[in-house]
Amino acid sequence: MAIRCQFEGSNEIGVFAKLTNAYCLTGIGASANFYSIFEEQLSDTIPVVFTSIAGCRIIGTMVTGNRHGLLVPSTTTDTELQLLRDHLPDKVKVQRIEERLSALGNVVVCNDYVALVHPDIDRETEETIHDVLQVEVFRHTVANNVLVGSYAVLSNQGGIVHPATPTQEQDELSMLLQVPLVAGTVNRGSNALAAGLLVNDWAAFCGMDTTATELNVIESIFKINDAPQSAISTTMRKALIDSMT
Amino acid sequence: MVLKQIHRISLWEKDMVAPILAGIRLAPGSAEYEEVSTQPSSSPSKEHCSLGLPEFRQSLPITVKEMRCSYCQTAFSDRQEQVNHYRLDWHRRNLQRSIQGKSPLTEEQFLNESSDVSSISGSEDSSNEDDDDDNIKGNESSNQILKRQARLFLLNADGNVISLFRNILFSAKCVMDGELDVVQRVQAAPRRQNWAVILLGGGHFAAAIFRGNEVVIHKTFHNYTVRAKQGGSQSSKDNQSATAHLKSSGSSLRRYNEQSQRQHIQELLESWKTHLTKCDLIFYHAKHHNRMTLFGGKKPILDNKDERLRNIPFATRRAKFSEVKRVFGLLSEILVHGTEEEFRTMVKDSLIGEIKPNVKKKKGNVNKPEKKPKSMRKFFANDRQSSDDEMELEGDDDMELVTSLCTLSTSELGGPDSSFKRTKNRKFVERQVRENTKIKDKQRNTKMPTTSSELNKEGYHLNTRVWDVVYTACKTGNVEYLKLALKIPSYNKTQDGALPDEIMDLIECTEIPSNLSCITLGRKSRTMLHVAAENGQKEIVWWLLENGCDPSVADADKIVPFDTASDKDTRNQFRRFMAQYPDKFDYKKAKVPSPLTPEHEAQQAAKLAERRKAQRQVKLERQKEKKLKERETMREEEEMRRFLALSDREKRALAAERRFLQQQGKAGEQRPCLLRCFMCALDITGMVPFEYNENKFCSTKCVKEHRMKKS
Repeated sequence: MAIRCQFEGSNEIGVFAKLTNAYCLTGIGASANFYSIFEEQLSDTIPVVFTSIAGCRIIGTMVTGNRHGLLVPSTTTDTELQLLRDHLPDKVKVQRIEERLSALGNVVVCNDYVALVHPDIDRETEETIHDVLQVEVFRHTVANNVLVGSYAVLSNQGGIVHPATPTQEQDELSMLLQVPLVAGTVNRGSNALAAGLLVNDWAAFCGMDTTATELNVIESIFKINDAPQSAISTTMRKALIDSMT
Repeated sequence: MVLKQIHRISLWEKDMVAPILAGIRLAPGSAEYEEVSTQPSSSPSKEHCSLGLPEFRQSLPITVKEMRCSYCQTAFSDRQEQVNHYRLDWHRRNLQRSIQGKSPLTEEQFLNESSDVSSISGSEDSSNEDDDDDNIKGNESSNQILKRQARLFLLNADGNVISLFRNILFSAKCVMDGELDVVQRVQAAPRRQNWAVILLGGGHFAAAIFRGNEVVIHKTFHNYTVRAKQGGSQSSKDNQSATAHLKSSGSSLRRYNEQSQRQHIQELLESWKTHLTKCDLIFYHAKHHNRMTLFGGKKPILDNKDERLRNIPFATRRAKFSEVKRVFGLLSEILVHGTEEEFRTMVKDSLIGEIKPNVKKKKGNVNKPEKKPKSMRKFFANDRQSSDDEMELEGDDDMELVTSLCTLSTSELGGPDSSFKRTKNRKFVERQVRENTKIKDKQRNTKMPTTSSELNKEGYHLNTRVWDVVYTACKTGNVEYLKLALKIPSYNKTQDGALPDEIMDLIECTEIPSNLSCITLGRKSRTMLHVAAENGQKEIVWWLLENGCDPSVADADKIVPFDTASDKDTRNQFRRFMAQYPDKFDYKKAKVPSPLTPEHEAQQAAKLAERRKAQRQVKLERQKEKKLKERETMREEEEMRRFLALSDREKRALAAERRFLQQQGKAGEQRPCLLRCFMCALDITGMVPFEYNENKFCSTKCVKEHRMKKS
């Protein structure tokens, strides 16, 4: 079940947090409400870390990462970098990148295997992404938007892209990324998907405005289902229906 | 640029307009066409929207048969090929092109192109090249889009492209909603005949209401509100300075005028209200605080949200009735740009025009491979050839600026040196030529036997050394050298005036014209007198004048030697000479004002001496006075010091004494003697005494004497 939440009254939770299969980063809010939502859901499997990037709390916009690594912009201070290294699991490599497009969260979208990047990103950055995150990197756009990180959200299960993406492009992208894709919105029609949605392979969080329909799309494409429910509807279903007939 | 015949048709000529507006649609190539075509249509296709979608369709990789890259329009057989493709420069280039809205390159095209482009860095700096490359390739013009303009381009049934101002159709906030909407609005435009035009600025106000072509009502007036010279209105100036308002009469006048103008306008437009409400469109030009006049106040004349309000999409001049009419005329015009083909070429040209500055900018960038304006030109030429009616303009491109070297020779003045060749040192040669021609000219006039024909190239060179000597002599004031160089016999030969032998030899073989003023030195053809006067060499000046160097010969700048003289003494030298030889030269032409005879000079000297003497006297007197004053102040200071040294009791006593004295004085009686000097018994009543050991004295002298006596 995807969880609706807010960061200090803002529905753009993807701006203030970053969720991957190996860790979760949250921005430092005035209260611990936001943090505790994540902690409650995730703390028994992955670390949830309070952090800032270059003194700002918009960490979801600034960083990118997956289970293998975390990339932070060059503006990150040494103490912040040290904090991240201390709190994240040892197998997660943390690296600072010198990149002109410093809002890495906006220009890179990735899961544990593939990444789409902004067409203008540096070659060196591309290499770094490939090495640190252990992904195949593709320069691409989403619905003629270069900010692929803002208009697409990706997990190992599936992905959701900008609502104006043509079907042909969706097909091509899903071919490329090797995951099913769907065009959708969050936060009651907002097309800034990454800002409204945080997903990993088993959990999803979205802005408080997200409608039930949108939630339905998100849950089905990312395959976020509560285990008992899914057992009934999938594995046991056949037996049940069989017995009735 | 191609100059094309553009027809202008007024919106109000019904019989003309109707055929033109028949069957219009947006012209391909204009910004609006692109906008409308890329706009998601008002009925969104269901599969793209997750909201309220009937079927939820996932795009699964399995369902797609082939892997392909739509940017490069290629297909891949397996995953590895696909992944590798995304690393290629070709893909990157096509990605960049697609962002810029251009068609993709095929692999061969890319390879051809990349041979002259160093690399695709992946960052945006290569974008400029792309523009050029695109144009050079001459791809389909369908990719070329005119930038969004104030005008809206439409294609009508006759195949002509017409344009009219967007403002007539849409208000600023109104968004275009599909082609149909645009077409409907254009068709309706000629029927919306009631327009108002309001211009307001710089204290000028002009407004008119039109119905079709005729003016229904109009009004113009002017108030003095703009600050003279500084510009800007008074109120904006007042707002700038946070401190109290300026109090000048002008500023208060302007402030008042602004106020009254606002009121005046409001009253006027209030009275026009019936007309204004009838208007279909209201065009206005009012910037800054003038906006407040129209939209501000308790009861605004115009409503900010009024759909009919339109800006004027071009620069307007001073608000007058004539300007209002001009604005109205321009706004209500439909331009016919000719056929679609012609329009395309126009678009192309305008795009090329935009690119030009980029090319220029790139020149500073060293890393870039040199771009090719030449090939751009080629494209221009190709473009021209392809369009049928512009052949005659072809010549424009081939026109070149030719710089031709034109030399004016002085050879007609003297025969032999016409074969003279120019050497590297132009300045040097010029001097030579001028000197020689002049000299020869003179020689011919004086019927001297021409020996100059023997002068060869070597001779010129030697000659200059002689002139150098002459120049140096004039400059340094060496009369001996000058005499030697000019071969004028000197009566009192001295030893030190000897030049090196070789120069003497050169001088021997140099022709010296009899008239010294014919010798000119340097590019400005200055005479020796110029040089001497400039350097203040009085002796040389005198000597030259004596030897017939004419002071009335001006140099190339028309300056005579007298004016070049550096000091008064040198100028006087000319005047002295004038006194001595009043008829020798034309002094008026030489600008020498008056002769300076010895008596005159003596007189002047005497006058000067007298004046000096008087001045000295005055100075002495002043000094004496000053000394006196100083002494006075010294004494006063001394007195004060002495008084301060007294104890308070004594001061009081002294004051009492003085008072007593004064009273006595008033009474007109003999002043009593209260205190006498202990030494000389002088009456020191009322004065501050000198004292020691309680003894009081009139002066230090007495003190001294007293002490001496005691000891």
